[in-house]
This record gives sequence, structure tokens and C-alpha cells, in this order.
Amino acid sequence: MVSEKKLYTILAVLIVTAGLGVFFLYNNLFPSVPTQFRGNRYINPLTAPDFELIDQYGRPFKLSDFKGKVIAITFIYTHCPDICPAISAGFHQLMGLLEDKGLDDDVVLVMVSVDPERDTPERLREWMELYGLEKAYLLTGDIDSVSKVWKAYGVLVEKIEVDDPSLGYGVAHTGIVYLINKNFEVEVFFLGAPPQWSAEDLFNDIQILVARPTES
Amino acid sequence: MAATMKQTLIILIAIALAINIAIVAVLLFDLQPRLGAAVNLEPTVEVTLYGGEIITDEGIKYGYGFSPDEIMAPGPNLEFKQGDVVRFLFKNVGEVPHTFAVVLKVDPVNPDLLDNYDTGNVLPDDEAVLVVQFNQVGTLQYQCTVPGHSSLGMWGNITITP
Repeated sequence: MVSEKKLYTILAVLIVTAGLGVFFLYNNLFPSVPTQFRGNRYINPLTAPDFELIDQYGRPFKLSDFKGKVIAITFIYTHCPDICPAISAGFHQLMGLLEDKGLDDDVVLVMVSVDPERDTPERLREWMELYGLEKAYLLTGDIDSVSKVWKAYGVLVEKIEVDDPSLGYGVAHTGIVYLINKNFEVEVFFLGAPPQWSAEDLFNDIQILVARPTES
Repeated sequence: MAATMKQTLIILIAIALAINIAIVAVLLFDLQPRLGAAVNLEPTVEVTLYGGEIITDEGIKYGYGFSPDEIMAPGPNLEFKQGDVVRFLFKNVGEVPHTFAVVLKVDPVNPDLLDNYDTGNVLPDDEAVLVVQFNQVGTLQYQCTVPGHSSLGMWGNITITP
């Protein structure tokens, strides 16, 4: 005959394991980090093309210095009448979401100019102030270095005529945001500019990439 | 009195045991795919594309097709649903090296999407795999990134619907 004391012990153990189980289930059924990507995603990603340019303060910037962080990289120019303001506003909003969640140190926002002739560091700094992109890196450089970056990231850039002569010329370019994971691989790409994607969409995928451990 | 206490205890143990078994069952049968979802995504769609050269009335063209006998230039339209994880198996049945790459916009020399993100040169009679999850509704394209090949018809459209 089993003693009452033993039965109490068995009950206690079962209650503890059930409690742990419920806790584990709850955490996984309602995860604090999203599990579904919203951007298009390469399942077998490749190493990100590295490059060196100049930021909005004229300081040298090397992409691979940020290996181990999640990098969001996009392409803009400051005379852009349409998609670049939308992309820049999206990045500003994204920075706010990252700060709210305390992830701003895990993520680097990079915006490469597609018009280095007119986008001087000073001009990029004005754009930074206009859109509240203080924590982003707005990059430019000589045409050779910058065009190598466009090519490496598959961004087509072409000068076009515009109706408004005060803008000089326009630059038709690919609208895209890439997310580079902590292993320095280009894993996710969002096509176009808002409203095709939103800051929340980028934030969703960035959270997944930040939460994933780095491969050794 | 002692016997009743024991009976109550045994009932409680039975309930606690049932909860434990239920949790293990959920973990084993239901939750596993969800737990793995963020890390290992199994392809939901598999597409085998054959690439190579064909002789048409307009001369030699390069193209893609769903079988070696159905190669056309440009290649067939590919349609997927939002969220599909597509495993492309590309087989080169031609006489020269070809590649398969998903691009934003076809270009014979500078394709418009991570031009290093393709299968790379696939030699004749060889094959390669590319896996992409399409989460955004819209239109993409695919092409052979060997310079000039897309001008000869080695490209096609990809449509992602909700």
C-alpha cells in the first residue's frame, strides 16, 4: 500500500511539471518574437557584398564592421520626388519601433545614395535632419565606389529627364530594402517602397533575425 | 477519513497526470512545426525548370521549360501564392552553361536583384537548387544571368498572388 506521503510527493511533482509545461506552451503559442517573415526570403542566403563608403559626416564606413548585427540597407537620393521620401519616412518610423523595443543597438540602418554627384555628405546630413534619421548611415562616395555597390546589390540606376527643371535631372532606380542577418548574409528583401511594405513589416522580420543566434 | 483523503489524492494525481500527458501530446503532434517555423522552412512548392537552346523560325533562342521538350523563349509564367517556399531545381539540358536567378527586372548584363544571388553557372547536364520564400504580393522575373542570354529569350515572369 502506497503511503499518503508518497502520494503527496507524486502530486507535487506532477503539478510542477504541468506548470512548467503550461508555461512552455504559452511562450511558444504566443511568442514574443514573430515567427513568420513578411519580406521575401532566401532560404539558402549568400554572404553580403562588402563595401567602403563615406557617411553623412564624411567619416569612412565599412559594412563588414557591423558583422554580427542585423543590417537594413536601401538605396535613395535626396532630389527624389517620389519613393525616397516614402522609404526615408519608413526608416524613421522603423527606428522608433526599434528604440521602443530596445533593439536599436542590434540593428544598423544603411541608406546608399544613387546620386553621389549631388548627394554630398552635407546634403545627406540635411536629409537626415529632415527625416529624423540621426541613427542611420547615409552613404555616398566617388561614382566608381558607389556604382560598385549598386551593381553588387543588383540596383539599377539610370539618369532620366524630369518635368520640373528645378530638380535638374531625376534618377530612376530600384526600390528595395535588404535585410542582412547576423552572419552577414543577405536573407530578406522587400520590393519597392511604402505602401508596398511598412515599417512594421521590416520590424517584424528584423525581430526574427535579431532573436536568432549567430552561427559560429 | 484517511481512506477518503487518499482517494482525493489519487483523483488529483490522475488529473495532474492527464494534464501532463496532454501537454506532451500537444508538444509532440501539434507544436513542432510551429516551433521550427522560424528556423527551418521546408519547401511547400517544388518547381523543376529545364534550360537550354532551341531552334526556332527566328534562329537559335535560349529559354526555359517544364520539360526538356517544352523549352520556350521567353520561359513559362510561374505563379505562386503569398507565403510559398519554392524550391527551384534548375537542370541545364543545353550545350552551354546557363544560370537561373530570381530578379526584380530582367537585364541582359546587369540583372536587377543581387546579381550574385543565382544558381551560378550550371554546366550542361548539370543541375542546381535555389530556394526562395515569396511573402510579398507582386511580380518578379527570372532569367539566366550569363550576359546576353536573357536577350535571346532566357527569362520569364513570376506572379505572386494573395
